[in-house]
Amino acid sequence: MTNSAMVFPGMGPTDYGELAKFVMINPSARALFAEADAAAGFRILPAFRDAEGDYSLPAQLAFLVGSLALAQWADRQDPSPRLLAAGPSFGAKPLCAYVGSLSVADTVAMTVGLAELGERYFAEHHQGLVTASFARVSKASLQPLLDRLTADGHWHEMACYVDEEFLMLTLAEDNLAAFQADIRSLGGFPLYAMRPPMHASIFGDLRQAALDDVLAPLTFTDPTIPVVHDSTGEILRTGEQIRDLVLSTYTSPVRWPRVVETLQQHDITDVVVAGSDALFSRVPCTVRNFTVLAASPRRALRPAA
Amino acid sequence: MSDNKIWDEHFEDIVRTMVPFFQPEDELTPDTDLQNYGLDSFGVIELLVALEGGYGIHFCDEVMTRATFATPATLWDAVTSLREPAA
Repeated sequence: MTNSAMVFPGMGPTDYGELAKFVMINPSARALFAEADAAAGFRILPAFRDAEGDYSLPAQLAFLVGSLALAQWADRQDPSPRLLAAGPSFGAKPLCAYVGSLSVADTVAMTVGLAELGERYFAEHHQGLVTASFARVSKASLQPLLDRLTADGHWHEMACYVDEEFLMLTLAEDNLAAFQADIRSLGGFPLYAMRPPMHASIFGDLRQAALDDVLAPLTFTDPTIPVVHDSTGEILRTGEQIRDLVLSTYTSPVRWPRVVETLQQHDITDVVVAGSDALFSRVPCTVRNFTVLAASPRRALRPAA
Repeated sequence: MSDNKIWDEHFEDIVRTMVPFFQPEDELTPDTDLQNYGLDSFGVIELLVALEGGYGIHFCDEVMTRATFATPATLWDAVTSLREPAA
């Protein structure tokens, strides 16, 4: 028996050409982008094509609406009901629209508001911090490095547990080179460093501003299907909990293995990862435990078997 | 395999399998830009693990950089250096 869940991944770089081609040939995706364009007040895909950087506002909107369109595509491929949904990190935003807690228009407005707020906030705060990702190091073997950072008085905090040996740490950029050298000495592989940093308890003031300035006017209705919290693994069933999930992405680390545990506890066998994902659909704890459909633009463009 | 190949078939098989957008008709040359064929950050880790398993080697910190995974030539250099017995 197949029990399926829908997952919206954290944001990564999106290939404009593939997404634009998918939207061009998919009438539902075109309609969704038209609705989102009206809410944003500009045409998202051309703006994304012309924008600089992988995480600009148009890039965020393209990823958001693209993820939703790909979820719709996946639902048409396999109409069996999704029993649970999850949205780690940025994925919490398309999740809000997919489970009906917000309309598409409100989800777009929220994403615009949060993107602009984040840009203003990080222009003035925490400019010396980065979130570094690295692989092939477990939390246990990392601990001595963290203890040394603490002993030397260097603030740091875990930002993301993607898999047992795929982690992200927020720390001062001044400490990054030495930290990456230490990761290599443990047999690990330092990957990218992200600016601005993400998911840290010291961003409480940003979380409060997100509530006061962006989320407060929005009404979050109860989700049509239960949602798995991306940090605690708890099951969420109310609109208020979905709003708090969006806020908690600012201050709580993503713990994808906990989401996986909850999905397993609810006998989920199949997972759809909807969006231009390079991570959540591929890490061992996902592929080891579920049949995965990576619903990316490239996959949706592939002729049906 | 064309004459300019400096690696063995096992290496060719692993790289072709692990680099996602490589088509059977595409030729793997020493200077092929692996990133252009979809080898992203997580793909580097997957390729590293496959090579370690395939050759019984362990990537040490000196070669644990993105530059090692830039082309088949740079990657094969790393594999051969790790296979050589210590002096």
